[in-house]
Amino acid sequence: MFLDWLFTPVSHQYEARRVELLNKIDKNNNLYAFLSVPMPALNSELSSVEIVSVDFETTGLDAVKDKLLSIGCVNMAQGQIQLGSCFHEIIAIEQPLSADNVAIHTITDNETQNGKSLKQVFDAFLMKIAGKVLLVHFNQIEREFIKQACIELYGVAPVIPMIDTLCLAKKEFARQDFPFDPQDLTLENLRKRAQLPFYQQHHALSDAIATAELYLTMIKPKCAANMQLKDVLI
Amino acid sequence: MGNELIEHLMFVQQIPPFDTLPKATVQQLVKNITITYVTAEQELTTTASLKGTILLVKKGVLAKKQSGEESSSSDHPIETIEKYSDGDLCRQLILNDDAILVVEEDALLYCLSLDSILPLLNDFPEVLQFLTASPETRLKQTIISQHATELSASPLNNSLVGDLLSKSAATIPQYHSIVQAAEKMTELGYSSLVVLKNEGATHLSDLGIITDRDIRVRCVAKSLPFTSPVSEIMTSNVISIDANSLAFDALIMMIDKNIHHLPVTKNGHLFGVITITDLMHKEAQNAAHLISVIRRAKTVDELVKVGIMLPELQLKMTKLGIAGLQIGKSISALSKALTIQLIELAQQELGNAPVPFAWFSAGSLARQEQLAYSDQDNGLIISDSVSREQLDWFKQLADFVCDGLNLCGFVYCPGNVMASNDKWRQTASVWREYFRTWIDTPSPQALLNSSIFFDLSLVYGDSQLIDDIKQYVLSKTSKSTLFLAHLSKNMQSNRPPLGFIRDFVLISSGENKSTMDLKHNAIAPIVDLARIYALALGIEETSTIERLKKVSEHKLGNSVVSRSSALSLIDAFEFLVQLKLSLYLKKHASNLPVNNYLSPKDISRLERTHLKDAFKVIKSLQDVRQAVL
Repeated sequence: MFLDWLFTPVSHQYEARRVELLNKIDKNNNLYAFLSVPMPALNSELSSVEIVSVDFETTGLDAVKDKLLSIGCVNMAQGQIQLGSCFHEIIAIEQPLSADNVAIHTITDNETQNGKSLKQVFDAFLMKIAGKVLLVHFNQIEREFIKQACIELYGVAPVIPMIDTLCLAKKEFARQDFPFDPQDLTLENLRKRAQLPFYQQHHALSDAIATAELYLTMIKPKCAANMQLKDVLI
Repeated sequence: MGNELIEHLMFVQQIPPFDTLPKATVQQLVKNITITYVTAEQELTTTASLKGTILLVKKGVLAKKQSGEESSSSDHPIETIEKYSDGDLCRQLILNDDAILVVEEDALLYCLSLDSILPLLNDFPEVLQFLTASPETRLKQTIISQHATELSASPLNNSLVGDLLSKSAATIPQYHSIVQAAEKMTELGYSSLVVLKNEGATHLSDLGIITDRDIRVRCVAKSLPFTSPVSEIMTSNVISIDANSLAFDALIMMIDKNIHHLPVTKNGHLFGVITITDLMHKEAQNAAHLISVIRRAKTVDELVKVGIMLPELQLKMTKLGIAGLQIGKSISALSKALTIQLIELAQQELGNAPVPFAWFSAGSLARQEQLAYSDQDNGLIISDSVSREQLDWFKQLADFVCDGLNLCGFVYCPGNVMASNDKWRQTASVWREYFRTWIDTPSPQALLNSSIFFDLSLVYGDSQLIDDIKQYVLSKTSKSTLFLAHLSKNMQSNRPPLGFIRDFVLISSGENKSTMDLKHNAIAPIVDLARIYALALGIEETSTIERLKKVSEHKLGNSVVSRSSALSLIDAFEFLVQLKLSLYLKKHASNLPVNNYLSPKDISRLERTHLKDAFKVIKSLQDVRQAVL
């Protein structure tokens, strides 16, 4: 037991961290509801785990300096992406957007002014992902921005279990001794390799669905029955 | 939800039948989609999570497979019936048949559970029908709606009753005798009289009506004295129609009440009587008019003038929305009238025929399916009493008529199936020998060339000559399985151009690249099937529809084809003929050469789906014939 704990990476200690934070924070804190829902165990059968595919659009890569612009996510259970569960919100930010940045995510100043506050969006977002595993492409962005936002809004940051399609691809390339270029690891190029159709890039919800589809081609639903959550978790 | 799912929305929106739904409904549908990924060789029919779902293939290939006759036998390997690829809708998981659905290439599927979308489609029964009905039922629905369009485009819908009255009403006082009424009707050539209950009063309530049927049924059959007053046998509660009503409504009223005479009123007073014949005459006016012009023609030139109007008439009828089969009948009637008139003109020039003969048409004209732009197929049966010297008279007749038909727009037959060809201008005993050889010792090539001779109909001359041959043929074919087998085998060379993946198999090169031949690959196979059924059962009819109808009613019909399949084939045939006519119309309108080559791009997605349905019906029945061998 103790040895297990010793060799478990911090990112896998999400359940212990959840219980710890739940005992620590105030019941009026909006994070309390999120923390009340238990996380799936590391040895859960992968196909039974509920996954939320998530994508953030931001003004840059630095979670401290830059701002979160929009959040998109969609649920996936038993190898099926449920379009009825789609969530997409644009966040109001005070600073004007830079032109190159707008060119990427196509969210305009006008739209972001009509968006909701970071707190409103995050309260709702956390309820969507409570008790679920996050699926992302290139986890650093989502991980850092969630951490930063939680500290700002709730004073503490929970550990959230995550699956990253970029890491899965990297592992697979390494296993096949495939000399890859960093370019090969973009969501767009990985989808091309999996022969998935074109999608609208840099839109949070569209990217979230695109990531979920890519995941299905990597962890085929029939393989997921023989795998455990810890096999794919980062 | 805004525009976030725009790609998914656009994808679903372009797939029939969803393309007919309002955007808001498609948006609701999209929310019910689950996306899943399936890998090669997975069997979807047994995948529990997909049960009862409609699949939209976003990417990849699915195959519908069916085992052969006996699934256990290795002689009948599992056969792929259809494939579904990007952008296709697959209904296999909601249909109740024994085919299985297997993934051929890894596929990304958008799944819609039928139960979850049913409430959304309540207001769109035709979409629901499309999703849940079998190909055969879907085709039936198309034909029904085609008929509805046809009715609304009928000339009767554009004319008023008052405009169609050919004669004013004849009246008789109610105290006159039945004999007087009969005399008056005979004298005027009328089949009804309006009875005046009060002399001079023409308000509806003062009227009665008697028809020749009343005299028959209410007087003669009941031994009523002929001297009784007409009031004894008249109908006094008269139904009438206002002169400003649509002629179509008059027709419906007559059919509904089963009457043939309908008094017409204007401002409540008697204006005339309209008969069902008046209405029918209007409906067929164009073709009927031309036939009378043909009958009066004195020279070939006059006939040619009529002949070159036929394509125009056909286009006009198509535009009016008249059913394709009706048009085929009209054009065939005109073509037949032209031939008859040519034969009469020839006889004026050559003198009368030395011995009896029968001029017959074969192929489409015989089946009453000829359309303008077709070629002529005909032949001549001469009485066995003909002498060698007299044969020359028939050669001159044949040349005269075939040349004349060519000038009239029915071009020489490329296969030279014409009476002007010595081979097809023979005595009755030679013809009998031809048929005996074809049936008793069939060779595939000879049959291919002669199959149209199994659709024969008399155009002019001695009907006995042709009836004898037909009886002889039917008595032999219904017993000759070898012959039918060869005929069935020949038919297999005309397969509907239905590909496995996505669309149709198109002509791959040449000037008709990327098209399909509607005549040879779609209509001809049905004609062939109907011919085989008719010959197998000894059915005399020559028209394809009549043959199929007779097959479906025949007590042994089920031994060659099931009743429902025969009826589906009728629907497929009607649909294809209609499609062919609108193809002609489109080609004519864009100044293209009018031919049978259809590009799937030129028809709507919905029409493409119906075309596929029609092909599926044909293909499955061809396969049955093949299996019989």
